[in-house]
Parts: sequence; C-alpha cells; structure tokens
Amino acid sequence: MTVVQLLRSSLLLVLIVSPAGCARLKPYERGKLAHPTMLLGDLSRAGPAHVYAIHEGAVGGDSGAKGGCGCN
Amino acid sequence: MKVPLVVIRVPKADAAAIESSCRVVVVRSFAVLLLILGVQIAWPAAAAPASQDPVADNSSGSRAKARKRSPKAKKSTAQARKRSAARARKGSRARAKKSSKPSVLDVVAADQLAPADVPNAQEVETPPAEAGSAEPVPIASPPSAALQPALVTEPSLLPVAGTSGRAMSEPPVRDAPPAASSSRTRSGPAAHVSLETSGYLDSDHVSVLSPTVSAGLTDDVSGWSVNGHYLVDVVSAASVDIVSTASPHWTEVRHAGGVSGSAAFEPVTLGASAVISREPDYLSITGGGTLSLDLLDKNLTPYLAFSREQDSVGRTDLPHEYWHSKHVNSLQLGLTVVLSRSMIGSIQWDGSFERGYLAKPYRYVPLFAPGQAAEIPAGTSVEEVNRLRLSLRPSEQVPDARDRHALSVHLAHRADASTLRLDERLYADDWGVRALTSELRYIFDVRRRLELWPHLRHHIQGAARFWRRAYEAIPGPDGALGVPVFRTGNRELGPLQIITLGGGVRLGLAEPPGNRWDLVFEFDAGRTSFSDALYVSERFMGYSTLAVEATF
Repeated sequence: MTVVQLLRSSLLLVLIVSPAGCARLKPYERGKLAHPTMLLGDLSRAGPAHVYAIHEGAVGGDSGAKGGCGCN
Repeated sequence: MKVPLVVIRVPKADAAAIESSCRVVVVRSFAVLLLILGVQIAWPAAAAPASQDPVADNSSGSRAKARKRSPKAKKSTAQARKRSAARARKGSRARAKKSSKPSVLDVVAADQLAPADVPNAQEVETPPAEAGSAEPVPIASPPSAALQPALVTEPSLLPVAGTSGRAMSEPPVRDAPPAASSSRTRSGPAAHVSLETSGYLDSDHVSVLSPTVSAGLTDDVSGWSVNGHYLVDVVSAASVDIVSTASPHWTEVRHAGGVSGSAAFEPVTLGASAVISREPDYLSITGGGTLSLDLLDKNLTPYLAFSREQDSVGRTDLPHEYWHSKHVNSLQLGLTVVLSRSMIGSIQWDGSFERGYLAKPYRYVPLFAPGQAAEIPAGTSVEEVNRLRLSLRPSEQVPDARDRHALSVHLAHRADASTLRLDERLYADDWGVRALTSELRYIFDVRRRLELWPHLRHHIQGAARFWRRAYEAIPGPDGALGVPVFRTGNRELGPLQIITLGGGVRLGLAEPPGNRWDLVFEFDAGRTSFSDALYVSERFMGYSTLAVEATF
C-alpha cells in the first residue's frame, strides 16, 4: 500500500468514525467554543505562514478548518 | 481460574488480496457515510434524536413518570397544579395592570446596555422558572434588530421560555462567557482594518520587510463577509546561493493583493477568493472556492476547498514570452468536530498537484568528478566547493509534476482563561519527501485586555529521491561527461529539521461599546539544521510582526 493510499484510507476511516465521537452540544453550551482563539483556522498570520511554507519542504494542513463553533 | 485463550489463526494472504479487501471496506464505509450524510440533509428532524426536543422529551418523560406515581404523589401533584393555576391567575391580573406600561423587553435597547449586559447569541440563557408555571419567563432581549433574524431563522439557538417545564426546571449550565469574544463578536455588519509591518532576517543574509494593509466587512449574524488585503515585500538578499554563483547582492519588491468573501445559506457556507502576486521575475494568479456544511446542529462540519494557481516564472533579464509556466491545483477536504464543551478538533487532507516548471531559474548546481562526491562533506564552504567542482555547472532541473499530500489534525481546548492549540501534520509527496510537523500554542488571558502566548513549532523531513549533497558527472561511452537528469540545489528538498520558538501579545487598547482597537506583537526565532547540504549546515532566523487592528 503506497503512502497516498494510506493517507486516503486513514482520512476515510476518520471521516467515518468521527460522527460517533461528536458531542451534541446546545447553543448555550458553546460559551468556550465561541472564543476567538478556538476557531480552528490557522492562527499564524500570513507572514509567518509564508515563511513556514518557504522554509519547509511541505505544504498544506493549515488555515483550512471551518465551522464547529456554531456561533452564527 | 484459568481463562481460556482463543487463538485465531489468520491465513497468510498476499498483498494484492489485502489491498483488495481494504478497498472493499473503504468503499462500503464511504457508502455508509454518504448514506448518513444524505439522511441528515434530507430529514434533519428525523435524524435528530428525540432528546434534542426538550418539549417532547419532557412530556413523554413526564407521562411515563406519572403512570408510576403513587396516590400520595398524585395528590401532591394536584395541589401543586392548584397553586400553579392560582399563581397564573395572579400573574394575569398583574400583567393586565401593567399592560399600559412598556415591558422590560421594550425598554431595554441594546445601545443602552452596558457591554457586559449585551447578550451574545451563544450566551443568552433562559433563567430558571418554577415547574408548571404558566407565565412566560422573559428572556434577555437581543442586542439589536440585526440579531432578530438569526433568532427567528435559528430557533435552536434559544430555548423558548415557558414552553418546556424541564428546560426551566433544569436550567442549562452555561459555560463561562469568553472574555474576549463578547467584545469581538458584534451584531450587524462590522468593518475591520488592520495595518501591520513584518520583518524577517536570517543568518544567510536575507532580509524581508513587509508592510500589509487589510480591511473587510463582516456580518456575523447574516453570515457574510468580504475582505481584501495588499502587501509589499521588500526582499534583500546576499545568500550563499547567490554568492556561490558570483552574483551581486540584489533587492526586489513584490506586490500582492487579494480579495475574499463568504456567504452562509444555512446549512451551507460558500466562499471564494482571488490573489495576485507580482514581482519582476514572477507572476502568480490564484482563485479558489470553499464549501462547508453544518450538520448535527453545527456539531459536525465537513468542508471542501479548491484553488488553482497559475504562475509565470522567468528572469528579470528575460522577455516575458520566454518565461516558463506552472500551475497548481489544490484540493482540501476536512471535517470539524465539536468534541466537548471546551474542545473542538478537525482533521484535514490537503492535496496539491503541481505541473510545469518547478525549478528555480537562477539556481545552478555544482558538479563534481565521478567518485568525488563522497569526499565532499556536508557544510563545505563556497570557496572549497568552487575549488573542487568541475567547470561544468548546469542549471537546476527537477520533474515537471509533483503530487503533494498532507494529513493534518488540529485540536483546540479552552480552559477558564486559556486556550491550548495543538496541530499535527503528516506530509508525503511523489518526489519522496516525507515530513512531520507539530505546533503548539498556549494562549492565556493575563488580564481582561491582555493575551499572551508562547509558540513552539517543530518540523522534520527526509530528502527527495533525487537529492544529492554533491552531484557527480556521469561518464558517457565516448568519454564525454554527462549530467544527472534531475539535480537540485534547493536545500528544502534535502533532509532538515526546524525548531521555531516564539510568542505573541495582544493588547486591547479600546473595546465596545465604542470601536475596538488592538495592538498585536508576534515574534518567532528559528533554527534550521541541514544535515546533508553544501555551504550551510544551519540557519538562524528571526521574524516579527507589529499590527494595529481596529473594528468599527
């Protein structure tokens, strides 16, 4: 199994398993989740993110996460 | 007592059979996932468990309990009902007397509330009331009319007072309101402007100064936003790669600008962005879109993003028609999951598919005589390399296609006055580079308007398959020397390790009810170890940003 296949299978596996571990929170239980530092987007500013991208031979994995807080 | 041990012998299967089985499992699992998502989208009400509806849950629970009650309990229940009815009648008379006066809900306008009293949509809490009371308990008023549509379109945001005996008798435990979010989250459109200046300096004599301005409009309630940014990079370099080719120190200016926007159409949120970057020898245009879907009362959010980057790569002394082209298609697939009241996580796959000219036109590779490379140790100086190398010095050449994949996990945990962020990324590409990146950030509220955070990032990677510390010429049948098909001087394709330590501070200069002003300072210091490269074996760098942010 190649690395690509491994990554693909791992992703699918987690996608399938994750809903089972998902908490069903009410809006009034999201006080902590609504904090700005809890938004899963990349916390690094564009500058540092650019530096990391240039210095590291790897890309991806940053600034992607959307949603979750359910604020609005 | 002996526990019987059951041993299951699994017959040996060849790799093809295992892979085939895995494929079947994956395909089936994916089909099940699609089915679950389909059901959730098509019948959200049916898919929601009964406990999601406090009224129904309470009524059915009450009925079940009522059937089991003893006569004594029934008697006390009847008395309670009488008391409740009497209280309701009394309440009605009282309301009739007050009907000529405006209610609290009418009088208290958001603008008249102190900041701490303005309820956030997430923070509004229904006060507890007596079970069985027929009198509706007033809930906190929305801060402005702009918030009203959200309350109407998202009934689940606020439990309706007085409709559920259980909801009233068992008041929800509200999480501690975030110190900063209440002031950062506003109702109605908010404009934000940011001015920042960043500086980069490393031990390889490269310095970059980047002033940036960004602005945008965001309406948290309606769920739309538009943003724009413009930055200028002033790069000054006299790195070892430049020195090794006897090129002079150079300074270059890059301009980059971008716009982005997003809009929410419950449960879908759509986004789009475009960026253009221009420098004397490089032009890059990128466009992309995002789609996210809120499921399970916004506790589960799958998202998808796509972008295409079209680049032109040249040299300052070359006419544009001789420039090379390159394009990158990027795909991102992720899932954000609310794990608990204080923890949220996401898993994400990134695919980046690069095609075209992927080398650097200024980069030349020193070539050594056959059998000589082993004698060139890592970190050999420019002077020594120039003394030992052949006169032949080819330009860099790498494959014209690269498929890159990253699997990342992000976790955020909020304590009472601090947030812990953990990020982990696994990376692999078809050039043979494998990497692991870990990042940790601990943000804590020192005071009401003061946040501090230390930051740690670690990156380790292996080399590309065609990476050589020193490339050797290849002797041909006629005695002439040839060059390796693929050769690179890009140290970021070799084995390396980077440790970055830093931190930041956010100071609130002013906050609502007026405009919000923040001062942010961040600093990172890093060390890169190149274990198998010429010229340098380590590089130190420093990066700092000073920003002023305002929200109106």
